[in-house]
This record gives sequence, structure tokens and C-alpha cells, in this order.
Amino acid sequence: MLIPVVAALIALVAALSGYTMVKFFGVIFLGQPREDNHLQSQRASTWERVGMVWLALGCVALGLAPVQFIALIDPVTRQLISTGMAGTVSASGWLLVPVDIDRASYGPVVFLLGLAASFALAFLLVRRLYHGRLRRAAPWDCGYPWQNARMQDTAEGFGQPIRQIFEPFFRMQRELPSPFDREPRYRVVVGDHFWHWLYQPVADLVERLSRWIGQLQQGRIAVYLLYSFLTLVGVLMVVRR
Amino acid sequence: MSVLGSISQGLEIVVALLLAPLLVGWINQWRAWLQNKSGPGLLQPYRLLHKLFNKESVVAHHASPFFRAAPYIVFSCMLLASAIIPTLSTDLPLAPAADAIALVGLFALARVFMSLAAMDVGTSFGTMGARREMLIGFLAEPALLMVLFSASLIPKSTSLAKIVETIAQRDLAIYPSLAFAGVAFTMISLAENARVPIDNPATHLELTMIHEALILEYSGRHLALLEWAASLKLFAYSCLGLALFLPWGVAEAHAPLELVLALPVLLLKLAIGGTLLALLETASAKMRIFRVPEFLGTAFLLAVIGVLVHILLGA
Repeated sequence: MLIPVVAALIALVAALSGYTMVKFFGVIFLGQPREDNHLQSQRASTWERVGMVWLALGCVALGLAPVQFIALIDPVTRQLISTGMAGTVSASGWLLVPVDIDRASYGPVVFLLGLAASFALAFLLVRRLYHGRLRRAAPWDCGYPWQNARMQDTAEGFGQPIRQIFEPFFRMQRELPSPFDREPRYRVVVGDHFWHWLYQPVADLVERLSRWIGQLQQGRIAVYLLYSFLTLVGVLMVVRR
Repeated sequence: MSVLGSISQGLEIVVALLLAPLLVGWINQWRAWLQNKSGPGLLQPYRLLHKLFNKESVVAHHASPFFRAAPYIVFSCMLLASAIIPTLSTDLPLAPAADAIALVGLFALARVFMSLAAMDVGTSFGTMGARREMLIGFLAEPALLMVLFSASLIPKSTSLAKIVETIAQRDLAIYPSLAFAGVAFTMISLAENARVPIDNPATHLELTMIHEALILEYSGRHLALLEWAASLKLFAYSCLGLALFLPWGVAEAHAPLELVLALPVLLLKLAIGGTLLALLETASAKMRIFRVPEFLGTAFLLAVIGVLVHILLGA
């Protein structure tokens, strides 16, 4: 029972992370520069890019050869839950088969090859049967000629639907500008209910306690000598016999 | 990999490529008839594709190569999706490469590329379309997975071919879990294919469009590929629905002669399904964008109920 619901939750998380990926990639790398000083930005040097590319290639390799990686991390799985799936997985070669070929399977390499083949075939056929003519022009955008880079979505705007849908789950304070504002101002502070109702009270209590205890620490040597003297007197009273 | 398997695999791809625009034409024709219009004819999508392929592509000055590659990627994703869905036969060599979960991933891949391409030129409508498309996507994907799970509980397998074979071999009966899943699937396919309650494929009304906003900057062969991909997606979703909930008539591995019969049966099922879709679209009005989460949340809930019903009743 739990497995399908958990799987659907994972799908929700995956789809949300897809949303976030599109948001970050799109806002950072695509579109037009949103500020003037972005126009003077330069490309990173080759070595700087290599530092990123090998990490990305690692992700691609993980996606293409999950079977081999599962075999590599199998000892860890065995130590943790005392069972592993490297045996069933590696039995079917390049196809990722968690339990049984009849139950579930996934062949990432076939997948990639199929995509690449249909990409190449579509490209070649379009060029062969029709043409590859191309003309550069100003963006269309429904024919609005005065558009500028500020009219693109910001990251704030792109994430707005998510905040709208999950509004009950956030503690959100919003200041929306009215159409008549001379200097429109938009401000949003997104908080967390758990933080506010669960952690914040504990944090407040600990802070109050420590402030109260902090009263003892006066930072003067005479006071600390007095504490030692009082402690000594107290101990002597207990062990007076 | 048998010879017959390869033939049925190739046949499926060709049939999907050729029939997908026809399905769109059929639905548009019925929509026109239901609105007391005469309609453009069944072959209009083919004429449109031919015209667009012949036109030159106009691309914005600062569009990156990614923008030009995206239509081919989206088209390939949809082609692969229609190749792994058992539309005509369950004997598909490509089928083990991708089960139902990978199919959902394939649709997600296409969606991500399309949204990124829409953001590439940096126009306001493009980014708006990308945002809305991702919104609908992240709501529809878990629901679609739940539908596929509730169908996969019957054969205890997420392999699409296996699901279709198992359900087709059983007697004609209504499974309560599949009934719930079927309703949920219909709602999801309306959202995923930009059909009427969610989005209107026939409009360029600026503030309401989703799919049209995504492809606003495309023209010529790129637009043709995206239109073809959209019709392939509709075809793939229709065939997936038919394969999961009405699998009778799909050929099996040990019965090659059924392959000959499978095509007319599929055509009949698609014709009826297309008419029903047109009827559904004509009878309903487009909803506000923030009603969509409720709509898709209902679909998710129905799919979860389907899974629960299967576990409680065992059917």
C-alpha cells in the first residue's frame, strides 16, 4: 500500500525539482541579460568549465550505467539492510531490472540511442525532403515591439504559482504594490510553519534560560572569587564532620 | 528479438507518425460539426504540416542553437513514447527498455526541453508559457504515475506490454480500480495535451494560452515538428488509455495474425474516442489557471482511490 503512495510522492518531488531546474537554468542561462552590467560578462575559461563539465558527465554516466553503479554500492546496501540487488540487476546486462524482467525494466542506453537515432533521422529527413533555410529576425512575442529584457520572468515570478498553490504550507508575508504607487514596491518573506511553531518556541526558551543564567557571569574577578568562596562554605557545611 | 517483433515495432512507429495528424484532424472536424460549422476537413493537419515544412524558419537574433535543437528533441521523445506504448501489438523489442515509469519520464523530458526552449528567446509570453507548462506538468506527473500504478497492480508489473496482455486475457468485466483510474487518466490527458478545460489548442488569446505561448517564437519546419510532436503526444496518450483500459484487439506475441486485425480495431477505437473528446471539449468551458491544481488534484485523488480499491477489493 505504502509503496505506490511513496512512489507518487517521489514523482511529485521529481516533478517539482524539474520545475526548479527549468527555473534556475532558464533564468540564469537563457533569455536576455536582465541588467546592463551582465552585458560585459565574459565566458569562463576552459579550465573553469572543465571543473563543472566532469561533474555533469558523472551525472550522465550514472544515468547511462546504473547497473554497474548499483554493483559498486552494493556492499553498502548489504551492510545497511542486509540484502542487496546487485545479483538480479547485473544478471540482465545493460537493462536495469530491479526484481524481475516481467515486473519492471529500464534500458537507459537503448533510450539514449533511440532518442539520438530519431533526432538524426528527423533532422536528415527534414533537410532532404524539404530545406534548411533560416532567417534571423526580431523576436515575435505576439507582435509587441517595445518589449525589453525586464519583461521576462524573474526567478520570483517563475516560482509564484508554486507559492500560490502551496500557500497554506508557507508562512508568507507579502507586500503588493497598488497600481497607483509612485514607487511600486514588492516584498515577500517566505517562512516555514514548522520553524515557527516547533523550533522557534524551543529556541526562544533556550535563549531565555541562557540569558537568565548569563546574569551570573558578571565578568569581574571579585564576583567569581565570591562564587568560589560561597561554594567552599557550602561544601564545608555538608562535610563538617 | 524476433522478426515479427521488429515488424510490429516498425509498423507501430509508422502508424503513429501517419495517423497522429489524422486523429487531430478528426477531433477538429468533430469540434467544428458540434459548433455548427462545416470544418476544415480531415486532411487539414497534413496540409498544415506540409505548408510549414516548406516555409523558411524565422528565428530571433539572439536565439541559441538550443532553441533550434529543441523541436527535434521533443519530436524524438514523442516518437519514442509512441514506439513503447503497445498500440498494435504487445510484442515490441523496444518495450523492455522503458516501462510505465520511464514513459512518464520521457514525457517529462520533452516538457523540460520545450519549456527551456520557450525561455531561450527571453520574451514575456515564452516565460509565461514555460511557467504554466511546468506547473501543469508537476501536478499531472504524480497523478499519471498513480494511474499507471493502479493499472500495474493487476499483473503486478509496470511493463506496459505485460499490463495490456494480462488485462486483455481476462474476461470482459468492469474493474472498479480501473474505472477510477480511467476517469483520472482522462482528466490528466486533457491537461497534458492542452485540451479545453485546461488550455484551448485553437486560441492565441494572449493571457490564457499555455501550449501556444510555448511555441510562439517558432515558425517553419521547427513549428511543423512541434505541431507534429503535439499530435503524436495526443495519439500516444489516446493509445495508452485505450491499451490500459480497453486492451481488446491488441495483438500478442504468439498470435501474429491478430496484427492484421489490430489496425482496423485501433482505428475504430480512436474514432470513437476522438468523437467523445470533441464532445467533452465542446461541452466544457476553459477554467482559470489556479483552478487547474484542483482539477489535477481530483485526478490524483481518484487514482489513489483506484489503488486503494484494488488493495481492498482485490480487483
